[in-house]
Amino acid sequence: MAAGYEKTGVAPSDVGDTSSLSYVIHDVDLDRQTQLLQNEIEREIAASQPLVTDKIPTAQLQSEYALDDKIYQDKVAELMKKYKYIRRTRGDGNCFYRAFAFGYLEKNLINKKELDRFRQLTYDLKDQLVKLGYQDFTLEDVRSVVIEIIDNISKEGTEQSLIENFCSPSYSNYFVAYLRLFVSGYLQMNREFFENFIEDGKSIKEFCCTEVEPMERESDNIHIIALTKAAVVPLRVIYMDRSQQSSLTIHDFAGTDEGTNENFEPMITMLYRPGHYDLLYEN
Amino acid sequence: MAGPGGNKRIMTEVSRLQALASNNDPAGLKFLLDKSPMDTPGSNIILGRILPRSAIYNQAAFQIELKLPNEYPFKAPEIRFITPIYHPNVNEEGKICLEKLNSPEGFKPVTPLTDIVKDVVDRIDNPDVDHALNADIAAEYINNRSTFDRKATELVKKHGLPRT
Repeated sequence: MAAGYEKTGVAPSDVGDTSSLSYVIHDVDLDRQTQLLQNEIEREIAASQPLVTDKIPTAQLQSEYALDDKIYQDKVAELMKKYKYIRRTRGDGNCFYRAFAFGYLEKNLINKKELDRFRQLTYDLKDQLVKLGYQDFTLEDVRSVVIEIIDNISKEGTEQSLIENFCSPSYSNYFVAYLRLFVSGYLQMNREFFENFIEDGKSIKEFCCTEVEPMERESDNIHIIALTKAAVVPLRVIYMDRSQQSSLTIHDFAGTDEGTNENFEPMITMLYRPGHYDLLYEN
Repeated sequence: MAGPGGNKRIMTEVSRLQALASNNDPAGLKFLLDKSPMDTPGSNIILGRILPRSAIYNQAAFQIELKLPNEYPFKAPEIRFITPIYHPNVNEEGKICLEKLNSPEGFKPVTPLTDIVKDVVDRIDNPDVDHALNADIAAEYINNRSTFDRKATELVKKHGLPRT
């Protein structure tokens, strides 16, 4: 312990006129209390929410909203017409990535060709990032686990083994971390296009450092566009919020430059409610 | 911390920190690793000495502790000074204020520990009174520099560790 620290006995009066001081004293105790509270909240969420659940009938959503909440009840009813099941993810700021990873692998459990394509993209990403200045060995650390997961799924993937993988924090978080790097790499390699969409005048690099790569940073449209394009995976997101219209808003992300049309077939479908993404299934 | 990549990652991090001991580039980062999970299996503590370059602090080495949480590398390591140091950005408990660690958006799973150590040294060499952890010391640093220098030097002489 840093014991034996000398108290210097400097009193404010010793240092003359303090009114001209413009610095801010950083309150480490407040930081620490905030951090402890944050940790407590995270622990509670972890205890009550699995990283990924089994498929649950969408009918259960009805009980999440007050029976007389007409707006939401109508929207749930609308949702239930097409989507029979929902799979929940933990609300920890990583849900978009976790849902994407799980949904993608689940859809392609027996599609070896597609898994090989994605494996190659996963493999190539590391060198692209090294060219952008990232450290090889930390990238290798993350990539190796993701490749291991993809290889396991390729060999003998089942829904059950997928759930086990994704409910193990160590495996699951590696995949989330790597998908964040997919987004970061894609944004940086297409910076001229995406710069226009960043608020506060942040550069693409700053945005990636603060809003993409750190764990638990939430996802916005820009993250979704970047990931679907980087992975070339078509995604449909159904938005359910308080807006007055009773029909659900659908956003399709083609993953290619061609855009979407009425024949759009998503590989993954998600439900978005403000701040959170879950997976949806027609059956 | 015993995740699939976990141990290998930590091993590589430790050997990179170890390699800094023989970094003879005067502008480069030097670090003297004293203890790591490699000598004590099951431990999550890394101890080592930083070698600041700025006046006064370049007279000694200062031991810091890096504690790796269970969720590493998805959560940042906790840093504190074991060697007492008189500095506007280090408090009595040895806690240091660093953006890379203290803001949630600072640390990423791909941040190497050498980057963190570099940030600690940079902060010691470049005090930031806007993020001071001790009002008195910060005030003294700005308004009564000779007194600050004297006290900082006293502490370095009293507690500073060898630089080899």
